[in-house]
Amino acid sequence: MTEQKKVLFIVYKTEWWGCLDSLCRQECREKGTTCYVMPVPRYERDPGTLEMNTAKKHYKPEQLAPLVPEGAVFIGNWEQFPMNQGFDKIYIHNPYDNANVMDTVDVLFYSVNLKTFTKKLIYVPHVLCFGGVPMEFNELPVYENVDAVYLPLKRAKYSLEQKYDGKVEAVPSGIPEYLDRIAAQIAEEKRQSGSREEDARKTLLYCVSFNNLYYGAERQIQKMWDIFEYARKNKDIRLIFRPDEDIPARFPWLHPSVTEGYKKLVAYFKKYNIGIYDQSPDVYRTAVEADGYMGAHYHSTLFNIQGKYVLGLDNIQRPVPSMDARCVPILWDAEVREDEQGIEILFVPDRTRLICRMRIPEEMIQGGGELPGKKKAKKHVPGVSRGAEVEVIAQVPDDVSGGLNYINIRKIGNCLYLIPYSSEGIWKYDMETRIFSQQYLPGADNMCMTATFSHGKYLYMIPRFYPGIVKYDTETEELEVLDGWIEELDRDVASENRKEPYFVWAVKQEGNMLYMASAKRDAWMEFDMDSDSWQVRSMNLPGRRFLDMVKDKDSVWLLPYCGNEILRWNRVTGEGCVLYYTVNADSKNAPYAMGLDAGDFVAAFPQQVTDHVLLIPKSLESRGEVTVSKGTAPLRERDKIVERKGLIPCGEGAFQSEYQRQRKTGYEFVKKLESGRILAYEYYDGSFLVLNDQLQPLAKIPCRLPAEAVREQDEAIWKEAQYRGEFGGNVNEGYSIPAMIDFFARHGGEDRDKIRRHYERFLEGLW
Amino acid sequence: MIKYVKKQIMELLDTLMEARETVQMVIGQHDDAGLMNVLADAQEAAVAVGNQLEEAAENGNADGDVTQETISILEKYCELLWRVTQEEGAQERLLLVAEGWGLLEEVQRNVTRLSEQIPVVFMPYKASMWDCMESVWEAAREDPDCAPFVVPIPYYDTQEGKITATHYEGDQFPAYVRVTDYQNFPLEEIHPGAIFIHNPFDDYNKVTSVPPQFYSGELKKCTDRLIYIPYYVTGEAVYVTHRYIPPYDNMDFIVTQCENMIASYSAELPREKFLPFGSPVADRILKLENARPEIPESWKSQLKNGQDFGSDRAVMLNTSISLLMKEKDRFLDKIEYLFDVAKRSQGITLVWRPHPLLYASAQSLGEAYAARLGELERKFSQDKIGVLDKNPDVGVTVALCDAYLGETASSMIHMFGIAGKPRFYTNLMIPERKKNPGDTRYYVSAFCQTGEKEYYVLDRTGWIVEKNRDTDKVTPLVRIPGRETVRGRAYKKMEIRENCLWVYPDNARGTFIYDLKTGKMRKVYEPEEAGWKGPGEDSRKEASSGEGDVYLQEGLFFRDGPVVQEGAFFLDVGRECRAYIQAERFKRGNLNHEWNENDTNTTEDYFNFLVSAQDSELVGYQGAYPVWLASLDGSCGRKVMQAVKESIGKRRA
Repeated sequence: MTEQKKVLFIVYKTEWWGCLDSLCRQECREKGTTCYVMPVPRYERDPGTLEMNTAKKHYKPEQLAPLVPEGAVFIGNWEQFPMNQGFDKIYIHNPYDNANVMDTVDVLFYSVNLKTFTKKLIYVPHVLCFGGVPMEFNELPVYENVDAVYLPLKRAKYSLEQKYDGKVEAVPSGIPEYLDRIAAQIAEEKRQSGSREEDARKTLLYCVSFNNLYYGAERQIQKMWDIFEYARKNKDIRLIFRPDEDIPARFPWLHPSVTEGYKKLVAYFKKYNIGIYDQSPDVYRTAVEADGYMGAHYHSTLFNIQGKYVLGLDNIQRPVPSMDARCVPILWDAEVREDEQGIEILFVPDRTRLICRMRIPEEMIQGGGELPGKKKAKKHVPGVSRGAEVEVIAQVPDDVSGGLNYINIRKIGNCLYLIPYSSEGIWKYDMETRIFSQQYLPGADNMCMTATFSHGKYLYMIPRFYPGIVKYDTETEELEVLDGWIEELDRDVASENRKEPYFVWAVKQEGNMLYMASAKRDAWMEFDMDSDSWQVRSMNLPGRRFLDMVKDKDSVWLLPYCGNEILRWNRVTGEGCVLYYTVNADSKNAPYAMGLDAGDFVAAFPQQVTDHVLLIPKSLESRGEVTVSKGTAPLRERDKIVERKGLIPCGEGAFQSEYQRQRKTGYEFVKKLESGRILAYEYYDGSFLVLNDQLQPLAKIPCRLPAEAVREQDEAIWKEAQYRGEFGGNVNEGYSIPAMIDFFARHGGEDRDKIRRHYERFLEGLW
Repeated sequence: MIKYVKKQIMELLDTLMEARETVQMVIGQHDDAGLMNVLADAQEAAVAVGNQLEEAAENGNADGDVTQETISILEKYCELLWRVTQEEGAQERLLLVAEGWGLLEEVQRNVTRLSEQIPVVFMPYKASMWDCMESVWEAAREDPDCAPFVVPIPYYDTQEGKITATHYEGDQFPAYVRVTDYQNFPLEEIHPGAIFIHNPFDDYNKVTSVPPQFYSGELKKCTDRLIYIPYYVTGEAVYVTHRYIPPYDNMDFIVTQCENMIASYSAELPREKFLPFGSPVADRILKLENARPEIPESWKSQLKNGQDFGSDRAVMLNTSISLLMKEKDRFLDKIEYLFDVAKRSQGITLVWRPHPLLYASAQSLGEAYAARLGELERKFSQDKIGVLDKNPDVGVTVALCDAYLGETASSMIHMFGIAGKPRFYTNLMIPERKKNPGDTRYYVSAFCQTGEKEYYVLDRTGWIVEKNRDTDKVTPLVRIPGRETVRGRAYKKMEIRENCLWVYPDNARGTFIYDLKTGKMRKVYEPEEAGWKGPGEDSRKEASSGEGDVYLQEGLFFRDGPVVQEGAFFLDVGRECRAYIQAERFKRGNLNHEWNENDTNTTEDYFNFLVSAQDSELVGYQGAYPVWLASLDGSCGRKVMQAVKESIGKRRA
C-alpha cells in the first residue's frame, strides 16, 4: 500500500506564489500525496517602533485561490487548519521570520516553529537566483532552521554561509514557467477584451532598492535625476518606476541628504507624470508586462530568463548629452581638398566607423558660414547642421567599435586609407568599387599610430605605440616595418615613461624628410623617406617631451607633453630656450595641443578651458626678450607673445554642453590650405572654422552627424557586446544613458530567443 | 629649527651668559671649589645646547652646516672651560673666560641666524599604515621651512566601551624613520603648524580607539592645521561608512584621491576642506617600483634556487582572516586548490602573505581548522610552492611580485593596480573536474592541406592551426581578428591559393587571407552595393585549386566525390597548443589586466598568461587608477605639504 504523504505550501504573499507553483504541481502529481496550499496573514509593523500591528493585517485568500493548481487542497482559513497534524514536507518562500522591517507573519509560521511540524522544511527563494542568493536575502534566519534550500544551480550555495552547504539542493526554478503562464494569461486577457495596442512604445521597468540608495548615496540620487529628466523630455519609452516597498521604512538608515533627495525625486516623478509609479505587489506580472529592465537590482533575472534586455546602471556620474551634443563629432584628422567651388572634407568621427563627407561651398565661406539667400531653420533639429550637411558615404566593416578607431584618413587616387588607432589594421576603401580591404600587421595587437605622411606611392605611418614606422605601398599593398630606430630611441627612457607614446603630433614632413620630436624622451629623429634611413639624437633638452611642433627651416617651436614650457630649438646647433610657461603642467591634456605655422608667427591652438590662442612671433629668440600680452592685443607685435582672446571660440564658456566640456578637448584639427586660408575644427560647439592668415574667422560652419547615423553607431556597440557576451542580454550604461535607452527603444524587442536560450543553457549547467 | 627648540636653546645660552659674572666673581675670590661647580654647570648647559642642535640637525630640522659649526664652537668652549680649571693664576683664568664667553656670543649669533621652521607632526598609530604618510613626511623633510616629527601614538582594542588591550608600535617603523616618543613630546608647547593623522574615528569606532588626548578635537587645540590622510586607497568612491564621521568637522583638511571622490563624501563637508591630490600610498608604491628593493633574506631559502625567483613569475597570494572566519572549510579548500594549481604550473612561485593572526583565528574556530591550516603551511614550504611572507612592509612585497592572486575585498588590489600589475580575483569555488580534464579538442569549421601540412580553422577561437602530418604536432599559426563578434559559425571554407590561405566567411564579414610565407594577413570585404559575391556554395569548385582538395561543409568532409567523414569534426591540438591559445585569449580579453575567476577565466589560464607574457606586458596596466588618483607620479605628498604650508602661511600672516 502506498504510503500517504502530506505536503503543505505556506504562502506569505500571493504575488510570490510563482516560485512555488511548479513544485506544487509536481507534488500534486505524486501518487499518494495530499498537497495543501495555505495563505497566512501578515501584519504591518508600525514605522519607528517596528512593532507588529495586528490591526494592519493583510490576508486575502480569495486572491490566491484561483492560482492554486488542480489537485491541491486550498486552505482558506488558516486558524482552523491544525498544524500539529504533521507534514512530510512544508514549503515556504518567506525568508524573514522576525527580520523584516515592513511586516511579519504570525510567530506560528516562523521557520523555527514550522520545523516542529514537518520532516522536511524547504525554503524556496521568491527571486530567481543565477549566481547566488542576492545580498538582500542571504543572511536571514530561514537558513538556520530549514532542512533544504532549493536553488537552481548548486554553485549558488557559495552565496550562503558554508554551514548551509548541505542544505542546498539544485532544483530547477519554477519561475520561468510561471512567467510564461502569466504571459499567456495576459495575452488571453487582451484577446478577450479586444483591446488593441495603443502605445507602441517599449516599456522599461526601473527598479531601485534600499541597497542602491545606501551604497550609492548622492550618486544614486543624481543618477535617478538624470533618468527622470531624460524620461520627462524624451517619450521614446514608457518608464515604470518601481522602488522597493521597504525604502521608506529604512529611511533612518540613510543619510538625511539621501532621504530628502529621494523624497524629492518621488514627488517630482509623480508631479510631472514621468511614467508609471508602480507599487503593485506582483512583480512577476510587472516583469512580464514590461519589455525590459533598467537598474542594478536582483529583479533583473526575471527579465534575463524571458529573453528581455537588462540595462545595467552604475554609480558613475556622467553628464547626460542632448541629441545635438551626441551628433557633434570628435575628429582628429581629415582629408581636405580645396578648389574654386569650396572645400571638401572627408573624415571618420571618433566612436564611429563612418566615412563622412562634408562640402563647404565657397559661397558659404564668403557668407561667413551661411549660404546667401538661405534662411536659418526656425527649429533646430538635432543632428542637422545649420550649415553644410554631413553625408555618410560608407561604413567600415570593422570589428572594433567605440573609441577612436582611425587616427588618420588619406586619399590617394580613388582610394581612402584609414590608419588605425584602436582598429586592428590599415583599411583601404575603393570609392569606385566600394570594396573594403584591411591589412594587418603580424603579432600586432596594438597598431596605434599617430600621424601619416604620403611620399610618392607610399604612406609612412608614424607610431604612437607600435614599435616601428610602417611603410605602405599603395600600389602593391605591401607593408614594411622599419624598426631599426626603436632600440636607440628606447635607450635611456625613464622607467615612468616606458608606457608613453613614441610620438604624438610633433612630427612634420618637408619633402622627403620627416622631422620628429619624441613624447617618450628627449629625442629628435630625422627620417629620410627616399632612403628609409634615420638619425636619432638628443635634443639637449633633458626631462622634456613633446606633443606638437612647428618647424621653419632650422627653427623648431615645441609644445610640451606633460610639461609647461614652450620652447624654441635649433635643430642644427642644438640650442634651445624657453619662450613661455604654460599652466596645467602635470596633465597630458595640454593647454595647447596643436601648433600651426602662421607665417611670421606660430599659433598654438587651445584645448579644454584655455581661453585664448597663443601667438608667438617667430623672431623671438629667447625668453629674455619676451613680454606677454593678454586679452585682445593686436596680433602683430613682434616683441610680444600674445594670448589672444576673443579671436576664435575657446575657453570654458565656449563649450556648448557639460557633456562636451568633460570630453577634455578643444581644437582637434588645424590645417593650412593651399589658398593660405586655415581650416580648423573645434569641439567647443562643434564647428569648422575657416580663418584667414591672420587667424581671423571668415566663416564658421557647424558640423553635425546625422542623428540616425549616430544612433546606429551607438547601437552597434551594444549589439556587438551582445555577440561577444554570447547574448546575455545585458547592456551596460557605457557612455550615456540616452544612448542606452535609445538602443532599447529601437531594439528592445529583438534577440529574445537568443537571450532566452542563453539563460536556459546556463541554468542547465551547460555554460 | 622650530621655535620651541630655538627658544629653549636661547634660554640656555642666556643662562650661560649670565653665568659669566658668577665665574668672574668666583675666580676673583680664589674659590676653586665654587669655580669647579659653576664651570661644571656651564659645561653641562653647553653640552645640552650641543645635543639639541645635533638632534635638530639629524632630524633635518636645522641647517646642517651652521649647526655643525656651532657645535664645534661649543666644543671649543668646553675645552676652554677645562683649561680654566688647569690654570692657577686669576688673570690667566679671566683671559680664558673672556675667550670662552666670546665664543658663546658667536654661538648666540649662529643660533639666532637659524631660520625658524614650521613644526609638522605626523601621528600614526599603526606602523603598517605608515605608507599613507611617508611621502608627505619626505616632502616635509626636504622643505627647509618645515621641521617634521614622527610621533607614533598608542591605540586600544575595545569591546563594549572597555579597553581590552593596549598597543604601541613605535618600534616597528622603518629604520630610516626617526620616531619621537609621544610621552616626551610637548605637543601643546610646540604647537605644530600641522598635525597629520590617519585615524579619523575618535570614539566612533567600536573596536579600536586611540587615547582621548589624541582625539581630533584635542589635537585641533594644539595645532594650526589638522589633516586627515586616509590609510587606504579605494576605487571610485570612499567607503560608505567613511562618508561622514563627526570628527571630520575638526579636520582642517582631508586628503582625497581625486576631485571626483569629493562627491562621495557628505555634501555637508565644504569643498575647501579637501585636498584632492592623490594618495601617499600610491607615491610609495611607485617609488618602490622605480627602485626595486632587495629580496628579503628570509625569502631566499624558500625560493627554488635559494637566491631569487629566477625565471619564475612571483605571484602574491592574498588571504584574509574575515574570509576564513566566514567560510572556514571553503576557504581552506580553496587555498589548497590554489597551491595545487601553482605547483602544477611551471614558472610560478607564490608569495603567500597570510595575516599574522590567521593561525590564531583558525585556532579560535577549533583544533581541526588550526591543524589543517598548519598542514597547508607545511605543504607550502615542503613542496617549495613559494615564499611564506612575513615581511612587515607590504609595499616591498608588492614591488617584488609580478602579479596578484586573491580576494577583491582588500586594499592590496589597489596597490597592485597602482603598480599596473595583473590582478586575478578568486572566488571560493573549486572548478569541477570536467569529464575529460585534459580535453584539448576544438571544433573545426574549415580545413585544407598542402604537402605534409594541414590547416584547420578552430571555429570558436578564430585560430588557424597548422598540423604536421608526419609528427602530428599542431602549432598555432594566426588568429583571425574579430571572431568574438560573430554569432554562429564564423568561417566555412578554406583553401590555399598561391601560398596564401583563403578563409571564406559563413557568418563572419570578409574573406581572410593569410600569406604562409610572409605571415602577412588581410581581409577583403564585399562591397555594399556592387553585387560582388565571394566564393560560396555554388562557386566552391571554381574557387578550389589543386588536386584532391578536401574541404569542409556543414561538418562533413567532401572530396570531389563521396563523403569522406561525417559528423562534427574536432581536432585534438595537444596541451601546448591549447595552453598558448588559452593564454592569448585570456590576455587579449582584458586590457586592464584584471580578471575575475569564473568558468572561462581559470587560475590555470592566469598562470599560463603570466608565464608566457613578456616582462613589459606585466606592468603599466593601471586601468582606472589614473582616473581614481589625481597623481600617479609620486607628487601627492609634495602637493599636500605645499598646500598645508601655504595655508599655514596665510593664517600666520
